[in-house]
Amino acid sequence: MFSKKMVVVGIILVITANIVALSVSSRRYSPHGLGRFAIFFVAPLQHVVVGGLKLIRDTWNHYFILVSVSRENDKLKKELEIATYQNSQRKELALSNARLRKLLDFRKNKSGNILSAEVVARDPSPWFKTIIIDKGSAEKVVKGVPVFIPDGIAGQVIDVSSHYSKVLLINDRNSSVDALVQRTRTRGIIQGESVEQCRLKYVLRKHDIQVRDVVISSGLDGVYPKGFNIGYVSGIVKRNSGMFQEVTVTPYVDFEKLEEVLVLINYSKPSDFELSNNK
Amino acid sequence: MKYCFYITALFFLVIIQTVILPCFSLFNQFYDLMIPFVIFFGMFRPARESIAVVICSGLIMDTLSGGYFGLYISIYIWLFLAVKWAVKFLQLRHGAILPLASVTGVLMENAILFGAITFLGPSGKANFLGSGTMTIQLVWAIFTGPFFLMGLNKVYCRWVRFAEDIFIRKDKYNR
Repeated sequence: MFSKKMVVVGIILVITANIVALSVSSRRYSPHGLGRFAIFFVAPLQHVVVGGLKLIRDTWNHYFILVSVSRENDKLKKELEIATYQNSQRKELALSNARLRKLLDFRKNKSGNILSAEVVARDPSPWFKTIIIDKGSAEKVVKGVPVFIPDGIAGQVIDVSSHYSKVLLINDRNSSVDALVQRTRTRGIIQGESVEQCRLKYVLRKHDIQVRDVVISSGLDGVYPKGFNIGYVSGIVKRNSGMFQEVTVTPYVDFEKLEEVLVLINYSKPSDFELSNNK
Repeated sequence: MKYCFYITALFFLVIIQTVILPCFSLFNQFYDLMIPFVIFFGMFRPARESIAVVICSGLIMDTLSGGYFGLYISIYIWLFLAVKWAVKFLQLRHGAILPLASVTGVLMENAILFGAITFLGPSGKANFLGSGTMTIQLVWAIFTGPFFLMGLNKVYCRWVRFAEDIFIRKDKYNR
């Protein structure tokens, strides 16, 4: 019916159209109704299976692995004594910090409500790093809110359905976080590479950065609040040429073991004016 | 009933891939389980009843993954078309076909993902660990891909026979 030439031309045209369509969709991540529809059907099933697995794991951990619990209990009691002492010291420090802040007329940190959420699924592809959590628009989660755990920043919400949300982790290639090296206040952009480590980009060669330096969020990206832990510097390469040094950052969050996360809702982001003033 | 099987299998594989496999670090670099699913349609099912399921699989994966929308739909459609084209020339009963098909599927998916990340991604390059991941996926695909394909085909055949039995019994009962 068709000549060979026509088939080849047809295939080339279809491939071109496909590349153009993907190129258009890659320019900007925009949530779409079809996606929410799929999450609406798949996420509850994933939630049920995660619940089942958790039940099995909990049963195993609580009833079958009791041999080392007694020993662990003694160890924890000793640690608790030390922690109690440290805690009382910290309380004292916090009080004096509050007094000093007041003296210096520090602006109050803008903070929102914190919502805890459970991870119900992970990205099916190792090339991308996202998770699905069990909180959605019904719980006032909106696109762009930061997600974290006490150890540090985990990511940000990129898609929301009624009871579930998709979170882009900071180690995904498409993720960027404006960051500061805590010790030297050097600024850079944390970019994911879809592996365990991230890169701290655009750090000038002249800046002093050392391995084990802590990296925190700068708050200037308008997504993550200032001062949240991101990770620590685990590698530095200064090439003979080039303006920037290559800094590798290992996140504090263990993305492979992420089970529960905290979502910062109603977080009042700094205005553009505030951001430009800070810059 | 066929579509009931397809949807059940699709959801089952999605849940295995997104919930169960991540619990075991051994399967951290496991390949995409939709690949054998799509190959199954390309090899054993007619195009007219496969294409909707293939698109649906792509849509679900696009939704759950952090990739660009349409990436998985494209991958699965091209993979499906490639398998449909290849089965015209290949002997399906030959023992090497199933591992070969699985490996080709994994290679094709990774090639498209690599290309998409390199040319359309923000950083402009996919790192070398991507190729390490692909090697592990290929090894998994050689050894487990044929079992998934055979398993899917076998379960499908049993499902159809089971459905036919039910309908025959129902017919007899109605008479």
